[in-house]
Amino acid sequence: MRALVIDDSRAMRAILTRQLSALGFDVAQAFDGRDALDLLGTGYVPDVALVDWNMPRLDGLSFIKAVRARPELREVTLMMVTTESEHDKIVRALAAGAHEYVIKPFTDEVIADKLALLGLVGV
Amino acid sequence: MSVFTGLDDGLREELGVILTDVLSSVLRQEAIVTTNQLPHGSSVTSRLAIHDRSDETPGSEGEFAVIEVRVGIGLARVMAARMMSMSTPDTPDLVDAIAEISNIAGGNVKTLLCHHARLSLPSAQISDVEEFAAARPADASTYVRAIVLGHVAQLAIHPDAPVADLLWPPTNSDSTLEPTA
Repeated sequence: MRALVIDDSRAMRAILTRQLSALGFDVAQAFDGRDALDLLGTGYVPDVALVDWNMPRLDGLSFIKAVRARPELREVTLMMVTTESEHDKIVRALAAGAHEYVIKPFTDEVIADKLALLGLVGV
Repeated sequence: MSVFTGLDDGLREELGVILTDVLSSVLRQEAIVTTNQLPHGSSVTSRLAIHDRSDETPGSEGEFAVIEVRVGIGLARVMAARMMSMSTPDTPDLVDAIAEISNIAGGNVKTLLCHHARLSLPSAQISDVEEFAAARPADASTYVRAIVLGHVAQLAIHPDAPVADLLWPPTNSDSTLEPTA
C-alpha cells in the first residue's frame, strides 16, 4: 500500500510518515497541494493521501477538489489531517470528497483507527 | 469588545488545556499547567495570526490577534527530536517543529474563541531576547504555561500585536468563510 503525506511542516510529515511506515505503508511526501499534484502528474497513484488544510500555494481543500475532478484518481482515499476543527470546515471537506477527517493534535491510535475504518489496514 | 481580550478564568483554563493537550499528544508525555516562567537563555518563538471576521459591520476588517508559542532551546531540541525521530536536530528542525506546535495550538485557540475566522501560516525563529510574562501584563495579552519533561512552554495571545509580517494561506477554496454555529 502507498500513502502520500501532504503538509508544509516537515515535523508533521515526519510524524505521519513514521506512523504510516509502522503500519506497512510505503510513504511519499509533498510540501503542499501544488507539490502533490505535480507528483500525481508523474503517474504516482497512492492508495491514501493525508492532506493538511492550510498550506502555501495550494490548500488541502483545493487539492481534494482537483483529485476528485480526475477520474483516473477516483480510487485514491483522501484523509484531511488539519488543525481546522469547525463543523463547517469538516462538512466542506467531506462534501468535496474527503473520506475521513482528523483534527490535530492526534494520537497514533487515531490515525490507525481511521485507516482501519477505511479498510486500509487490519484491525 | 474583542473576542481576544478580557478572557475569563474559564477561557484561561481552556487555553491551558489546549497547551497541555498539544504538548502531551506530540511528545507522548504528560504535560501540566504551571505558573513557572520560561528558562533563561535562547528560545524558539513561533507566531501566527487569527483573523476574526465575526463583525459583519460594513467597512469592518475584523479583528486580529497573534498566537505565540515560546519554548526554551532545550525543550525545542527535545520536541524536534521526538517529532522528527532524529537524535540531533538542526536549527531549521527546531524552528519547523515549534512552528507546527503553534499551528496546532492556534487552530484550537481559533475554535475556542472565534466562530468565523482564518489562520495565517506560522512563522518561527530562534531568539536570544529573554522575555518573561508579567503576572499582570500591562497590555491585553493573555499567557498560559505548561511544564513537560521538566521544561516550560508558553502560549500567549497578543490582541494588539502587528500581523503585517505574517503570511496567509492562499484563498483557492476558502475565500468565503461560512459562519459556524
